[in-house]
Amino acid sequence: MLSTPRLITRCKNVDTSILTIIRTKRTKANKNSTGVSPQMQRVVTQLSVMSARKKQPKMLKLSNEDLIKHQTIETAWKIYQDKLQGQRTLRLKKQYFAVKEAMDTLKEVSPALFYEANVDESGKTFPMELRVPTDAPPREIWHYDYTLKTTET
Amino acid sequence: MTTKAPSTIRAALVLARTPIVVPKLTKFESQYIKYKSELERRLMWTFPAYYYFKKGTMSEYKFQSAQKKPISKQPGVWYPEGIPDIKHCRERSTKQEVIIPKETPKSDDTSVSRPVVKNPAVTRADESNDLTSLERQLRNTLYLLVKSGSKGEWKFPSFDVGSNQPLHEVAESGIREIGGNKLNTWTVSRKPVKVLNDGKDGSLEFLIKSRIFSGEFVPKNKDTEFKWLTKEEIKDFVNKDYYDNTEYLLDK
Amino acid sequence: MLRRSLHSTGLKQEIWKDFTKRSESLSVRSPILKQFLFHDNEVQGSSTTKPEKIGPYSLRRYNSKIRYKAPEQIDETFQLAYSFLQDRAQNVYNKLNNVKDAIEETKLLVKAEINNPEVQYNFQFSDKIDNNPRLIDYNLPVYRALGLKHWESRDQMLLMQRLETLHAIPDTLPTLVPRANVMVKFPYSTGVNKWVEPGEFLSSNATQLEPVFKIQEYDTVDVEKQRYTVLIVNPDEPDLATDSFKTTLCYGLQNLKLGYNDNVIDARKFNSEDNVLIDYLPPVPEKNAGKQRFVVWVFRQPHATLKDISTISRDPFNIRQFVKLNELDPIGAHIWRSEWDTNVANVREKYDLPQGRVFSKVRRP
Repeated sequence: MLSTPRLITRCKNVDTSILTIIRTKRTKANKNSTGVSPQMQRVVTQLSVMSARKKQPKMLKLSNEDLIKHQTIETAWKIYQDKLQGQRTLRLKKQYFAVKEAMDTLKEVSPALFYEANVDESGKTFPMELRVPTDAPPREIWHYDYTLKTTET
Repeated sequence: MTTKAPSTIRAALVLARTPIVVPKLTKFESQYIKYKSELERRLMWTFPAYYYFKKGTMSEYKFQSAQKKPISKQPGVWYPEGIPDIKHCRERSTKQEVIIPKETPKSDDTSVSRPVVKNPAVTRADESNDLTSLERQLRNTLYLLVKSGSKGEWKFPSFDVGSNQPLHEVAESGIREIGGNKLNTWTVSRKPVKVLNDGKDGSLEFLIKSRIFSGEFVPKNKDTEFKWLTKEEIKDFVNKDYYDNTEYLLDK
Repeated sequence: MLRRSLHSTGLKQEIWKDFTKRSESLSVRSPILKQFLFHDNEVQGSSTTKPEKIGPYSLRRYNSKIRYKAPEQIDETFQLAYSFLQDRAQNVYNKLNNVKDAIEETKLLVKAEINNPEVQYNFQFSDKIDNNPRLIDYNLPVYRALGLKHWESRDQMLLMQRLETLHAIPDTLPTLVPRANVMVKFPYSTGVNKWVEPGEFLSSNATQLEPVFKIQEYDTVDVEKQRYTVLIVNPDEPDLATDSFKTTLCYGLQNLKLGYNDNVIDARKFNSEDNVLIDYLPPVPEKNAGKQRFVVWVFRQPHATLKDISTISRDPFNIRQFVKLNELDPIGAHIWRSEWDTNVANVREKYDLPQGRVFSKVRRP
């Protein structure tokens, strides 16, 4: 507690006026108080939230069996993720070659369409209506009543 | 659509409805996440209640009285499961359970703090197995497949490219021609994702990816059938060659 | 629900629990430990009266057993992870039936077992050098692969660092690609009863009797046919004629047969006629001759016997020529150092050696 004011005065954006410790007379009423102002006490509380003192749990010590179990779980998870990643990569590869084949064919068959397909699309964004999947569906699952805005004008 | 155009180029639209609900975790995945979160709880710092609840207030009292008190260390007592090591009201060798005091909910509660009731992920369309509904299979991606006439085959809707109109425009306007204007779609890219070579008439079919966000597909022609299908269901409807050529373009 | 689903997997083939075709050393030895590892609730429930069932088997003290708290959800998660890995191992074993290539077969055998928790338990928690073949059987490719990894993680690097900083490489042989773990011990009443760390100083008293070697092979070799040669050379013998140093041979063994588990080379393992190339001459450094290095080299022989041992001579010994002539393949090495001390005179007396010279620190004209 005593070292804290020194620590705070180093910070520039803290109002140092609140940090002066007011010595009060030791009466029965303030016997239990630490003798710091409420503002000071608030700063101390906020800082102590971030400090590890008294808040860390005991170190985790595993028995041999549990260590092996933990290692097995982690290995299985790693292999599982590798498997998924492998499938993803394979699919992306196939997709890439499919696009390449399509574009090569298009270039051969119709240069005009090939030119149109290659128009720069940078700056294209996802539309606002795009929804991210959620844990549970919304109350209105699908919005059917859509009308094209351009047709109205 | 069935008439053969002189042009051999066709544009097909792979129209997808993206999942609305997150995919279901496998047993191993959910168990692993559970295990890791338990480990994390065990290794978490003690919850600083004094920071969130001002000393001497009613809310502090409510919070503190909801907490389970750990066994404290008393002199001259033998603790078979280890001597309690308590700091800040927490047994350091186990995880800390922070219990949030709960008020009894009223039935007519409309406040924001009322308990969340989740909607079920299985909808009415799933129960009645309505394959034309967009509200089915919320965890999967659905794709639009059409069949024109009773003799036609199930496939992605495809349209002839007449003039030099770009492929994606042909596909997008074509789908509106057969399915009405009430479609809010978004073309992923101008570039085709795949070319399919139709062996019969030598026509080339370029697939364009697109997504639907709202609206619905209402066929103008009564002969046109349509279905919203997941990847696995598509396998049963299209022929094997068609599926093998397109399966890697489709999401689960 | 979890237990029921696990129970239903009992109908499925469980390759890691099937020991009809697999070696016994792929399982943990103690049945109680096995119960704890797999958390076999049914077995445990039927005999809860036994005090061993209270806590983890590996914890010895009763108090620490009851005090121990396992992480939550670890058993449930472990069961799922185990069956996931076991299914993959099953696939590997299925693939193994069609494989003819020996290298490919070894690779698959390693792949099938390396994630087996019982194998990992055996390897991590038992002695890897003086191994018990029931727990760590180096005949199995998976234990060799684990052993190699363990050796490479420390001892191999330490050996190479010592060989290079002490310039055993290239003073004796140009270089070494380490493939076998060579260990040296002097297990006598005078000696040091421990595996010597490479580069250590040993007193001449400790080294007065021939060392015992342990050569751990990790590669797949034909154990029945492969023969080994061991040489100990001292490249620091003062040579007054050339005002330099020369290499002498301290010990030479040939045509040694090793196994993966049975690989300690001591006097019981060889006879003087077939195997001893040259008798052991203990390190007897002369006074003020400085520190002397004693480098152990282990070679794989191309044939059952050495081709040309006519060039062998104790002093001087040309190790490079000898290796070249006999087409020897260096696979491992070891090094220790020695210096003149008060025991040297005793050792010389025992071996009927002449009294050593005393070198002056000042070079005389």
